Amino acid sequence: MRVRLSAVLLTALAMVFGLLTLAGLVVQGDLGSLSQIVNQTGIRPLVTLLLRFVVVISAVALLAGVYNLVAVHVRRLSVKRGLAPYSLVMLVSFAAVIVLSLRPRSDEARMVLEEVQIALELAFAGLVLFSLVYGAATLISRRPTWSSALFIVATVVMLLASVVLAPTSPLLPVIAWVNAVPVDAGTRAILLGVALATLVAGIRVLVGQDRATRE
Amino acid sequence: MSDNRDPNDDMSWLDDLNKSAEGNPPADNDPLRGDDLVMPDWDLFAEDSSDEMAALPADDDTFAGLLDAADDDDDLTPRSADDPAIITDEIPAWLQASAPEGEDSPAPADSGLDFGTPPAAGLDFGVSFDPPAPSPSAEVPAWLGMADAGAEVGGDEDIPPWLAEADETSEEAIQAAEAVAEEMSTPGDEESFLPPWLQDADDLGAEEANAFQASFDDLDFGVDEAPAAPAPAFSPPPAAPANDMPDWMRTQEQGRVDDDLASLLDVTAVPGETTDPLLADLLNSAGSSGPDIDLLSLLEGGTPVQTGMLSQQPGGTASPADPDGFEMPDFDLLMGGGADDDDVPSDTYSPILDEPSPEPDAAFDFSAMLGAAAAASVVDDDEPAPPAAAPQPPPAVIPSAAAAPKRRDDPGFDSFLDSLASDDLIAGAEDSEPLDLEALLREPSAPAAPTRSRGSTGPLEPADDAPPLPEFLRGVSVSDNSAASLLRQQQDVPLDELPDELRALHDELAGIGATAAAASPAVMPMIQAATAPPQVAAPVGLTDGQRKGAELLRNLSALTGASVEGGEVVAPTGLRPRPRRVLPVVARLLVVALLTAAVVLPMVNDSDALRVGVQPPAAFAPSSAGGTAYDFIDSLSAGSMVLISVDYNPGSIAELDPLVTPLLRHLFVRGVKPVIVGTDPVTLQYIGRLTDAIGQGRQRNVDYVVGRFLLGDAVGTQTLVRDLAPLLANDIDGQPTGLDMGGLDDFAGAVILTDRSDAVRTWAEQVAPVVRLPLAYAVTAGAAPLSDPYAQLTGGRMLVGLRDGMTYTRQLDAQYTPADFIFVPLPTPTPTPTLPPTAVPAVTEDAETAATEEATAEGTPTGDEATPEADLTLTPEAEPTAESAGATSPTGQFAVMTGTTRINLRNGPGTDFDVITVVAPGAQFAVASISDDEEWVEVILPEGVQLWVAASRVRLTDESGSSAPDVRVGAGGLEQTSPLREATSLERRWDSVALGAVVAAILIAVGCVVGVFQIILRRRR
Repeated sequence: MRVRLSAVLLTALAMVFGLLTLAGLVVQGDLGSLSQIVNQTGIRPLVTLLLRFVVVISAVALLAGVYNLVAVHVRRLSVKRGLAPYSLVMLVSFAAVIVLSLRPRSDEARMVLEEVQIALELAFAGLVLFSLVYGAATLISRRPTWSSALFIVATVVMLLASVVLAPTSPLLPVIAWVNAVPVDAGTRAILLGVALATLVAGIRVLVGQDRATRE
Repeated sequence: MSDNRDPNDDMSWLDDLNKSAEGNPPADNDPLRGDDLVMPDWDLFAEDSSDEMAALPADDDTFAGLLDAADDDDDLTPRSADDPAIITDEIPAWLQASAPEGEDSPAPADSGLDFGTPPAAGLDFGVSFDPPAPSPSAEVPAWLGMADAGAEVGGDEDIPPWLAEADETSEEAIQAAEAVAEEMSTPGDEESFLPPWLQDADDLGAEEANAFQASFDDLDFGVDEAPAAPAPAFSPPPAAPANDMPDWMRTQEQGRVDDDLASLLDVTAVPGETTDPLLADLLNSAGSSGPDIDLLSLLEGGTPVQTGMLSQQPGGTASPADPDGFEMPDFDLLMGGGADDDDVPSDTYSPILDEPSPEPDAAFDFSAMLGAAAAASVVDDDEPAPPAAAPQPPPAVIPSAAAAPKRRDDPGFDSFLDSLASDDLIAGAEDSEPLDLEALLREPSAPAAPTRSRGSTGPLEPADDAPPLPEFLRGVSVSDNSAASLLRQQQDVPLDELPDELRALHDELAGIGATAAAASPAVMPMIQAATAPPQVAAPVGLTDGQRKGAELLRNLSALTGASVEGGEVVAPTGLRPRPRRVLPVVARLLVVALLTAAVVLPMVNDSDALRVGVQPPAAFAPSSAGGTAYDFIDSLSAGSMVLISVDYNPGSIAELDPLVTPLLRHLFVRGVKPVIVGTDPVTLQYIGRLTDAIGQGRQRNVDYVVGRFLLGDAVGTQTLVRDLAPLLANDIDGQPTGLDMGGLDDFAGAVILTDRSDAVRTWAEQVAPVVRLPLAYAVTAGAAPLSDPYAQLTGGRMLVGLRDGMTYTRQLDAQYTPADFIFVPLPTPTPTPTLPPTAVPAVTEDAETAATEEATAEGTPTGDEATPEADLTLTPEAEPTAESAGATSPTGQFAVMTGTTRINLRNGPGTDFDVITVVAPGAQFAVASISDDEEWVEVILPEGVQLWVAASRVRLTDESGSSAPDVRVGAGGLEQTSPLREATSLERRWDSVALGAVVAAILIAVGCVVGVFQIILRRRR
């Protein structure tokens, strides 16, 4: 098996710094000598420094993404005739937002934020309603399974119960029980699975079985 | 070649495109292979079909380049009208129209069998099939015709963008075509490309040509998915005079030479049945000694077959070169057998052609090719041949090579073959890196097949310092716009415009060529021909996925029997395309209409009939999650700081705004200083503005802080825990906050506003264990179920969506007076003289005048601006001295808000005073007083708060309008109620949500019932 030095080096780096970060975050003051070791060896400041690195790298990645986005549209503008209008709109909007952001308190900046961007995002979010309702209405005819039927019954009951039932309705205890027992159990099971998967993924990275970085 | 084109010739080259790929997996020097290959837009073809194709000149070399490249494989797998693989119904109309299988199209007589006139594009040794020319009646897309003919294009919209630029070179292409055609139209000329013995073959009559071509009909070269019909008896074409043949071909036992190279090719298919002595000779010599030179590959100039044969050699065999003469090519390589084909079973048929390249993506390895040739020259005859590849179904039997002649006497060819065995050449080739044309093809700006030099339309010429090309290699040329470039939607570029890395590749290849030339001058032309992409007529290659897609389309088309007429797909009778069902469309529209009505109507209609369900409670239950959160906020002491983490996207603003607004008001009422951070930059900015509006009279970075955007989601939250002070040193605008925080424990608590359960988990698992910070959550209804377990772990303080927002607002309204929510410094009450009603100036209702007046008012504040406190008549703590609209007014007058936009109410008579709130046009208030300059009117809000409004924005009246809306200030902001229905905007929003939920539930239930009936009906059928 061919082993590349770069892969070994990157994996070793990921393991070392992952373990250091874990130690700095997990080991608290109530773990006796282990806490003393962590405190005296300067792991905590190192962890803080690493976290700052991550934040800075994330910011650089964000800038790189913005640059790439602009570069792609500039290229399209010069090559792809059919897509040029969209790219032009995008670039003009980008420049306008940048300029308006120089005066963040201005009415123009407020208008762009509240009456364009947020309004559009809210509109898109609202469109989900129609898709969900139509999808649920046609679910049985498209996928006639017992789980589909259970999903539909649960959806209808919860929709009606959330807005129609009066506080004194006798159905409320039933709804509360459903929420407290099966729903809560299901959500906790999901969360437990997520936690276990996260733990396993972290351990695999720490022992070098998975690579957290690409070569 | 172009002079032989028949306008009605076969246009099924696109079909052959696929056939080519099936039989010959794309080589790496194939400019059409790889992911960059983009199939033509058939819709465009169909839509743009027109008669303009008729105007396409038959001898246009641009088009010929496309056709040649696509049709190149015909040299290996000749097709005929009887070929079952050709299904013209599957081909677009403009292609079908020119198919020879059509009723109006004769015979394959003109299908391209041509001796003596090599094609303009593609290395062809005199035997080729003419690229079909378009039929005058065919419907060819306008863009193709125009681009090809170099005609003026009417507009850019007629041409795909990728072809628009290609059109620029069409003039040169036409010139090239004309030059080539002119050059080729003189068989027998001294400048002809072919030796005379091949030119003579062009004298064949039409019938002979047809007969000869018919002999190809059922040939099977082992190409995948080629028709596997039994090989017919071989019927050789008439032979040309033998005296013009090369010497090495003339020396055969019977003294007769068949100059038809097609028959040479044919031996690969039906060697056992051939009656041609030369072919038998060639075949018999194949298994004996001699260098393994695959003549077919040489002639094809670097096709995948050649690569496969020379570099992959399933049989791995060769014979030692005879220093005294020429050994015939080893056709066992072509057949896939070993050197000793006496031992080769008859069913060992052409595994090379069956599986020419087990790794289609492998780079074109010319050095391997040379190495293979060299190895072939040193392998001893006695060395046992490696086992042959897996046997394939035998269409033919390989004859014995017992009586085959071993040598030929042509010195030129002999020296050339010897050169292949040169050690120097092999060394030079082996030292070089394999040519990775795949990478070259992936270069977006660099097509793999650059054009030859502009203006040069002649055949391939060797370099100045290289020996002249062999006769049979002359005439190799490609058009300026290759099929590769067209299909890849890129334009060929000349060599000098290539990127640097490709130029470097080219130079490297030139170095290899120089090494080879130094070793053996005879091989230089071959290197040039094989390595220079523009000089290789490679067959069109398709990826496996594209090939499968094409097959699927073809099969579907065959199944449905659809045809293309006039550029439109016409379904067969009885198999019409299934019409789009109307019911789903209607159902979808019905769902949208009903939901829209359910959501909108409660917002615009005050009827109680639209109110469903019950409103949220006026107060939280004491032990509920919402009640715990409310109590937590209400217990905060004045002067403390609370961290607000905004972790939701703008799409959740509509749901969380009713919750965030009273929460912030609550904090301000309690005198708590919110410090806001967030992981969503847009929402963070929005919350900052919302806080500015709510906290009128409070100052940023003094009474509240809108902090920075936290990058990295959970990592950002971790930095907040570990590295708080630097993060809060500046606010979102970069201004210093003045905060000197030692850590999160310095906060009295934290409120997490989010629409993601992950954010709750992050705070509960990563922050709560390391700090002593009480946490409260405000989440959307969608995130509540998964957030609840974490909230329970950290105190169970959680507010959910609109319902808890309304409850929070009502409870806050009940606990505090409206004046508590005005945070501007209010003046001390000072009686001001009120003007008698008669003295009130008549204010015009004209909007323009009003605007002007307000502008004037804003530009000229009253003299009270220095001491604004002196002008207000009431303190918030004071009892209301006036009633709202409908009640009595101290002045006997009422002010009705005019205009179409919201109107500012300030805490003093001037624009220098703070805007306390805004009201909508139509609102009516009792007038408390009018400023001395009559520019400002003091009105009394329902709760007794008195504010000032510009006189230009109101209309004074003596009567209280009965239908005037009621306006009140509350925890949820300024709320305007309807006189017909005592519902605030928040209540109407709840009604909208409730009615929408009910309608949605009904629609879902009805849809499911209908679905069940559909299933029952389906099963009954």
